[in-house]
Amino acid sequence: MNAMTPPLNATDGRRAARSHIETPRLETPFHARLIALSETNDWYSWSGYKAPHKLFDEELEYFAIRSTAALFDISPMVKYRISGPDAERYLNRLTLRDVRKLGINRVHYTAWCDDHGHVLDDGTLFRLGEDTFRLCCQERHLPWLLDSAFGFSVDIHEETEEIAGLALQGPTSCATLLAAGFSGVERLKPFDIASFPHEAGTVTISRTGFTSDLGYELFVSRALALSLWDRLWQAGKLHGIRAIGYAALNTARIEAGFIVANTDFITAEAALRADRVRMPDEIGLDWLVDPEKPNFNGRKAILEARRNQTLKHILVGLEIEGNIPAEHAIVYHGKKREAGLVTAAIWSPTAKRNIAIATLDRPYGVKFNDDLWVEIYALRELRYQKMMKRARIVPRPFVKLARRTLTPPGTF
Amino acid sequence: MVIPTTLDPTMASPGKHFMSCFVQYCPPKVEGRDWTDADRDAFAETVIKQIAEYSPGFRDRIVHMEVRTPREIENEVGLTEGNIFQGELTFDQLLFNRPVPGYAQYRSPIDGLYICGSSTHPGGGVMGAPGRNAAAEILRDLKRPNELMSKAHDVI
Amino acid sequence: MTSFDSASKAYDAIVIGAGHNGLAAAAKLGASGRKVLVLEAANEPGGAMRGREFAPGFRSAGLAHLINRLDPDVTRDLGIRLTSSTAMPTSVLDGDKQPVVLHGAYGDSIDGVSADEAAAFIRMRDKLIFQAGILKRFLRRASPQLGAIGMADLATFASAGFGLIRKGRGEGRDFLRMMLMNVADVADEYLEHDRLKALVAFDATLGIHLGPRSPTSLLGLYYRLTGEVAGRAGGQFIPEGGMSAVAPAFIKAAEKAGVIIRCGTSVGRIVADRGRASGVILADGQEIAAPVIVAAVHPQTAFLQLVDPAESGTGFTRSLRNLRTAGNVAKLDVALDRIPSFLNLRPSDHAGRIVLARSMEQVERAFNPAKYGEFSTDPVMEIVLPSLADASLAPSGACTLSALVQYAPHKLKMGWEASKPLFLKIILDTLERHAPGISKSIVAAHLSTPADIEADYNLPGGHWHHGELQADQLLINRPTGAASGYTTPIEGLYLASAGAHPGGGISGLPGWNAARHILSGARP
Repeated sequence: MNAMTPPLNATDGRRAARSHIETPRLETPFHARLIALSETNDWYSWSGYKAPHKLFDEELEYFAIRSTAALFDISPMVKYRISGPDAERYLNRLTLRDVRKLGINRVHYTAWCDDHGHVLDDGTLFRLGEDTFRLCCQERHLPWLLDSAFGFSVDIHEETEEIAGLALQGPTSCATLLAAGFSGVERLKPFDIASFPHEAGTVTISRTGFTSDLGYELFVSRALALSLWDRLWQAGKLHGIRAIGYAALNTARIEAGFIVANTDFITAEAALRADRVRMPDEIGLDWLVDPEKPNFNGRKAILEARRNQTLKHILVGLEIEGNIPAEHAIVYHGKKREAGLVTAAIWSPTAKRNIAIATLDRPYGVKFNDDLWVEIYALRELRYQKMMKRARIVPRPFVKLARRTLTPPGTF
Repeated sequence: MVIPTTLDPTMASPGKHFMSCFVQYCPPKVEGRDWTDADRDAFAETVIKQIAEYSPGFRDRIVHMEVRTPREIENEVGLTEGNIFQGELTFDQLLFNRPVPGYAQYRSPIDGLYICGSSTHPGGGVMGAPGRNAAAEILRDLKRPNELMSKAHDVI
Repeated sequence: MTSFDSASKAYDAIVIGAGHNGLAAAAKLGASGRKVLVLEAANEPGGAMRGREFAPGFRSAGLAHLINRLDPDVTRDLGIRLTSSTAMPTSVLDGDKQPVVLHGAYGDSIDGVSADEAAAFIRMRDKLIFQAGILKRFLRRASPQLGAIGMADLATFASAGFGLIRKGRGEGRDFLRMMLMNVADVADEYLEHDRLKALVAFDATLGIHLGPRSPTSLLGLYYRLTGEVAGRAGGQFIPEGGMSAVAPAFIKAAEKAGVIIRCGTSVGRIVADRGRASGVILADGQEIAAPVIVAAVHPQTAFLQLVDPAESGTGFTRSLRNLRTAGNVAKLDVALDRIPSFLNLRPSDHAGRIVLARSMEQVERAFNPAKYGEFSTDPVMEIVLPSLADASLAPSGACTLSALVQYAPHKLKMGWEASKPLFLKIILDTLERHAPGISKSIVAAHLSTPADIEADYNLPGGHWHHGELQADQLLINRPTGAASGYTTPIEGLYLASAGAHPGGGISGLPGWNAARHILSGARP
């Protein structure tokens, strides 16, 4: 994508072209702050970036989300800037929801499919202006996005590297932002966006998040990243701000009932086996599909599958008896017939329930909703404790908090 | 081109390395006639020159070199025309056509004589599948059970 | 179900493009009582068979200069009469030795080669015609659809299988072995003679971006041999009245069926909403509604230009954009003040097809530069003298010469603008070598490169087959999986051009098959 300076000669050119292998793991714009705060030195790779699994204590980090304010680096999230006179029409063909209904300075959650109606990814779409959007997602999609642009007057630009992102989530997140001088942020309703001056530039703040709690996401150019972190950190001191890693966030997102691409479902481009792909209706995203709006990728296949009742799977929330997380447990019907698989499971600290997200093979989860069981293998000192536990299909989210939507948010 | 001593230094004396190159395209005949030693050396020189463009100083590091054109490959290991796959992997010589139609089941026209080289299905490369498949056919002819043969992959 | 009986609709079907396939589709639909409108952008119908005056007093009858695969079922069904009393011979010239002349259907008798060579050629020909006959069963019906193989498909498979078994196990094996071979290896198996090998190499690769030694190049020869003339595979002819009679015959058939043909009427857009086509908008803004739209144009024109890309899936447009459709053949029309004389060629054989190709190696070497965006400096070509069959094409005593010249890649590295004069000179020099003195009788020479063909006939890539006829773009993949079998991802929109199964050449099959498919009421 970036034009390279013409090399002096062929050998130098070859050397320059392979320099990327010398940086096998990238650092995010906030790395200097994260590494200073990391007590556990526990990192993982998020799309090639070094990201904290936890920074000091998984449990305390989780309670920062639910009790105070948690600061989470979302810079590795893949971000595309989509702009141009046809941007709305382009995105309307690309994604499932009706982008015409997405107002300026609003965000919506959406997903997109290939021609066969198989989900390529889910993500959030930010409408930053009449003709300017930002699409955030888990996987990289530039070839698909560029190929989709044929016939549209639209410019697509990946800005993952140049835009830094922070999620500030938790009951005192609004108070923290106000203390940091972002006055007016209290007026943001869920999925609203506003821009605020920061240093010589601006920071875009949206009332969004992955926690089902009161929370915000902030986007800023890479150069202003550290000063933004410091501004929040300073302001948040009296509001209990804590930096957190993914483990804590993952607990919160399961409570929220959110799914993660290539964790709770396999994306169409990642799936190697023919039966692993999923239609929106098979991963709980049927509500995103808008048959009334103009044509979009996968429309015909999705509607045909509904009409012909050829949908094969369904994604459900489960509540499981006991308190042992049923991670990757097999789900049975009548304790015998295999009915599906648990893709994510935790003991929910807030709901005080043993919860799980599971993918079931229809008609389980549709016709047969009772008599479901999960087989949990708990490895305890080199011995499996096998348990067959009753599971009940329950609605998601597992945790619903009034403060998530209350505007203006309460002051804590 | 591979340098196996980067993984297993015991293949060469300390500090020295072994490097192996497969070079495309090298026909079994040179303009219709057999390879000569001079042809072979000239071909080697061409290859070294090209490697040296990518790896300056390469030439000066060579302690010993062996060059095998299709002629040497045929003479040393009996691969006709030096074809490392024992026959082109094109559709007319694959599957039920490998090595030739009618004899693609590891059996030859002579009873009791079986074929299991790269020239048989599924073809060349270090994988052992032709030999394994041939063994299964032989067991079948001998009316011996072959259920003890393990599956190539339990899960793919 | 497609409805034709709605009285509120002025037309039951709109056919876009009045090429012979568009006309065949329209005629078939019209004959069933449907009200059909054909829209043609050019000022006269005929598509690539549209004739034109290329020099004062000299006319060319369009791109094709002979017929070798006009389907007898199509002509019988549509009442098209295009016949000739004489079969055209094929002469292969190397500019030096006595010509090799094949008479009858692809060499029933051969002059200029030994009896042994002629017999070897016949053996090979008969084998290939038998094998082509198996593939031929698939030409007259929509290609089978993966995941929806029907009884009729099974019947075709069964009859193909039965055809194989009847000939014995060896024939079946040989077919499965040879099917995807290259023509050079097959020719080497059967033949010794340079020019016979040259001929099959040329015929297999004409109009296709393959050299004789490229994998699967034999398919091109099979395709030729699926064509028949007067019941014989591999023949060729020019109808009475010349090639200029072909377009009018199709037009007449369409008009007889009540079809309305509007020329000079450019379609700007095919109207579609949420996967359903409902009409067209003309370039001048007029909207015409119809429940069935038949695109008898290049698939890329249909889906990348006429249909709003928003109405197609990204994967579908991607596959259409990846269609390999770069033309490789240049068409030369020459006006001559007299009938030329090719070296050692009998006068009567001048009325046949003349192939200039010395050897298989020459064909292969002519292909090599095309891979790198260069034209051949030693091209191979097929020549016909059209005015010998149709005197109206040239003034009295004068003559026209038409040549299809390989290889002339669509995307020329140096650009055709700059290089065309040089290529023309190379071709004319080649002609002079084979017909000494011809240069002095040239009144005018008009060369159409693939770039010109693209512009003149609105054919993306200037490819007369609307896309390479290779294994990856045939049958269930023609033009691409989701639009094979004449239906397309857009309901009510059908594809009926050479870009659809079975492919290009003047056969009438894509158009006729598409119409039959529409009439069958089969759901997409």
